[in-house]
Amino acid sequence: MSGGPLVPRSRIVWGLLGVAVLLSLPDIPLVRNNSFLFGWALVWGLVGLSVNVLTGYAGQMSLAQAALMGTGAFTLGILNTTHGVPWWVAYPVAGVTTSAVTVLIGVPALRIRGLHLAIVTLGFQFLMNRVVFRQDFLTSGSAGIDIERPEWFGGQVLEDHASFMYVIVVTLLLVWLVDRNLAATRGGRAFYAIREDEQVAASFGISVSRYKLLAFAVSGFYAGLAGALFSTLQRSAGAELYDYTQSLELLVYGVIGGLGSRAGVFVASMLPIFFRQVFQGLRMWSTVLGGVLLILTLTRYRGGLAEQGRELAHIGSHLWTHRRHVAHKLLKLLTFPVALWRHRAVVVHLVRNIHHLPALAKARRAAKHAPSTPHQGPEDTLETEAFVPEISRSSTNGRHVTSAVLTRPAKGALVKVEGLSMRFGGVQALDNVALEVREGEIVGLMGPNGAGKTTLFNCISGFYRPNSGTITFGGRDVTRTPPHRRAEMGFGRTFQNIGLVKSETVLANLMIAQHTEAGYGPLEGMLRTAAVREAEERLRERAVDALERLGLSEMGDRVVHDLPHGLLKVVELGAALVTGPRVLLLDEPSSGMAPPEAEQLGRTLREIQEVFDVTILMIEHHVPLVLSVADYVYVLNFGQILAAGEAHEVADDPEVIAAYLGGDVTDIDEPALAEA
Amino acid sequence: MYSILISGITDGATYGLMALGIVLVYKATKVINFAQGEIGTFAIYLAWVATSELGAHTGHLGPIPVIGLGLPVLFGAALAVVLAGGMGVAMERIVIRPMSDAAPLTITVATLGVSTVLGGIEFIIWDERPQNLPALISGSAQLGDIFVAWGRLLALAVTIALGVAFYLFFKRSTFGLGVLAASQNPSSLRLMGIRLSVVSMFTWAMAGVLAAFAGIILAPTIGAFHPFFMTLLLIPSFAAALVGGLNSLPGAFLGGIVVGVVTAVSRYLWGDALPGVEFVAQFALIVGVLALRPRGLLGAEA
Repeated sequence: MSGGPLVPRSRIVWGLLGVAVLLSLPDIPLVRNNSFLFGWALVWGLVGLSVNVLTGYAGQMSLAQAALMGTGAFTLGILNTTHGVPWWVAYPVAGVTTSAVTVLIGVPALRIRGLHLAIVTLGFQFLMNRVVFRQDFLTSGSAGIDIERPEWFGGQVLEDHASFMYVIVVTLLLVWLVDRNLAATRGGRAFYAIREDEQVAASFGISVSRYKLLAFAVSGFYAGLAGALFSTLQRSAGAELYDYTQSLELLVYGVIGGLGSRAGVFVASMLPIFFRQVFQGLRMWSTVLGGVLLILTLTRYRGGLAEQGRELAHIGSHLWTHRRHVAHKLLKLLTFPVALWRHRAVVVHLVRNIHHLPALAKARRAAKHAPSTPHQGPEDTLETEAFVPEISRSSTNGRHVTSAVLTRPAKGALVKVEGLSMRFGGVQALDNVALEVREGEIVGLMGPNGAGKTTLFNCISGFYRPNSGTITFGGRDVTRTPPHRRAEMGFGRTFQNIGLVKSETVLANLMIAQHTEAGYGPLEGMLRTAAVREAEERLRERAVDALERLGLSEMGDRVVHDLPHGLLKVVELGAALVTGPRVLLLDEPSSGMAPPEAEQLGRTLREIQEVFDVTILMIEHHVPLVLSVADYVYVLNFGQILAAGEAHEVADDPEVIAAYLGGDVTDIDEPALAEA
Repeated sequence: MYSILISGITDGATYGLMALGIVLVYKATKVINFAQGEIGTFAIYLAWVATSELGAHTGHLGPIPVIGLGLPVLFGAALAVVLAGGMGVAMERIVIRPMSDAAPLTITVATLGVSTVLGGIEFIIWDERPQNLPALISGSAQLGDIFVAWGRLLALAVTIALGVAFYLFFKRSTFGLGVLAASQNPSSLRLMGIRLSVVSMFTWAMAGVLAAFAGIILAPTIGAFHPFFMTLLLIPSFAAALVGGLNSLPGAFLGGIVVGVVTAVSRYLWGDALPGVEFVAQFALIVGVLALRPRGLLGAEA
């Protein structure tokens, strides 16, 4: 986890190898003799990348990729053939035009989620293929547009397929590079967050609609380029090829490849082209095969080709690391006959006395049933033992406070709420609330269900705007400041449910959490400029540092959905802390925890407060936790502050007890309160 | 103009039948069934095989000889409907159940796989040549001064009858209510003594049956059918389901009628100037409804 190059060395080696193979591809005899087929397949691989961006990274299902290819093809045809625009202008314009058209279908996506969008793309596919591509004035109707091969810079026309394949290969390499950069930087991380959970993405400050449109735009660009390339390879653009079944096939093979994996989807997208060649014109056999493979992928082999490849690679590397052991075993296996011959006397003896074997087995069984001490290996306990993070006190930035702050310090108020009122229709959710959180404190906010705690939180973090009253932060009035600005000023927040991107690793989540702090745009990310690399290094360092301070260094590479609940809460705290907030708003940090876990959480919070030098305001139901960890406690009931004071004062307040238990004070015999 | 309206309404009834199947599956599983179309097409082929002349047909039937059963039209249609129900059950068993823990989006992709397999098999067995399915009833009825094919009126009647039957079944019977509750509250089903697996199987079987009804009614009125025939109808059917509201059974009908009329009128007004204008109209309907009223006309707030 610590240090190390951003890209592992093996990756660089593989990358260079891939580039070498691709560039030498047109010279391999097999490819040269089938250059149209291979050119076709490579273009389909490129379309696969467009499916991968939209559906694999951003989770938006599209049944219109063929229509997008067609858009690129016809744009090229109109520009190059009809208007004589030079090809080095026409290709990028074809990509950009398709990108623009794709954004048009992306616009409804801003209001539409998930499956409804698939229907829109299906409608778009039919609209383009049945109407737009068949208009005489646009595309010469059903005849299509003839497209000429480009001239190379020397003036030589790339007439044979093999030499045109270089254009395809170079385009593919460029797109691959851009795509890899996109996936590894801020934009890609925003996509993954949106794919997993749009609300979580928004809570990290990701503009969901903007990034969805970006996914459409990028996907459209790739597909448009691919369409332009294919129409040049084929020397014509026609409506027939870009139909619904083609779109369907692209999505199907994308899933088979393992959506989200560039290499997997790339390889799988090329498969149907070769299948078609194998089945000789019976295109539908490859369609059926695709459907069957898709269903198998979804029901049995989750993760598709990419996952299978990864497993194979894993087995391979395992065999390689244990190569001596493997060689030893193999040698043993090979020398088995020799060993038999050497010990032939024993073998002969055994064979002669084979009739004694049943009796021998019986004796053995009898011995086994005799009482013996049960064997318990250490591995039995290993799995069940809970991971307890240990907060490291050796902070790297040195601004931590060494001793626990137990008394209310004389520092000024960091967050101050005065006269806050909030009304929803006829319900007075908050009524003239005043509270104060001082620098370095842990302040608890208690109260029965519906008391207005979360409403108060939403006002403080800026999601709600109160009807009256003021909120100041470090002396500045922030009552009307929007939430993302407050986040920049130093408000961190967690939610009642786990707000993490479950498919990603712990470290990646802490990188995603710094979305608003990256300081570069997605386009720069795709180009991976020096500034981007610097920013990425900085984000990564901060994430690693935060993990270290939370005692989670070992957990960085673990995928979030594999982790136990209690640990997720700590990771979530990490995600809120990584941006270095001054005040942390925690909404029920102990929800869903067993009592011992909650107790551990109390210690963790105390340590976090010190190590990260952060002030904490937390809503908490678990009374013992609040009483043990909070310096100061406010109790909210029916939108009003019912009581305020140090933990033990509040705990003994008869009114508080009554509000919590809803009965008469004299009825109370609650061990939970006595416990504290 | 009246004849335009009537053909719009009768076509719309078929879209409504398809939409009913889509809404049913969506309500029970939150999955959008892209295989709805191809199960319908396959049922048309089955009905066609069942009603073809007795004996083996080779030559014009593609690489594999097809045995005609020579059954009466009504019989053949009934057989196809039953088999389509069986296809729904098989699909549930082989594809849907093994991935019951997956996200609806993933299962939706799987339904695409099913449609691919079915359409491909149609291609391989019967090739792409258009075929004709005999109508259940021939001739036309005279309504005032316009003539309407009996087949179209039958489509309307069957749609209304099925719609009413489904409505009563889902609103009045315990099992029907259970099916509707399945996606929202699976545990309450167990308390009602209904097995989730039975509900799931029933839902997909009904989807198949509805697709078959729609296909067998529609194919003769359009004239010819071919592989992926009903998939072309997915657009108006989805439009119908969305216009009515994806979670409303009566909405599916209303949506079907709306889409049918809009399609017929747009084709009548601009069809000559812009061939395929119905695709524009249907796309505009889909986008418009989703942008302006995502829950549709009769749907509840999701």
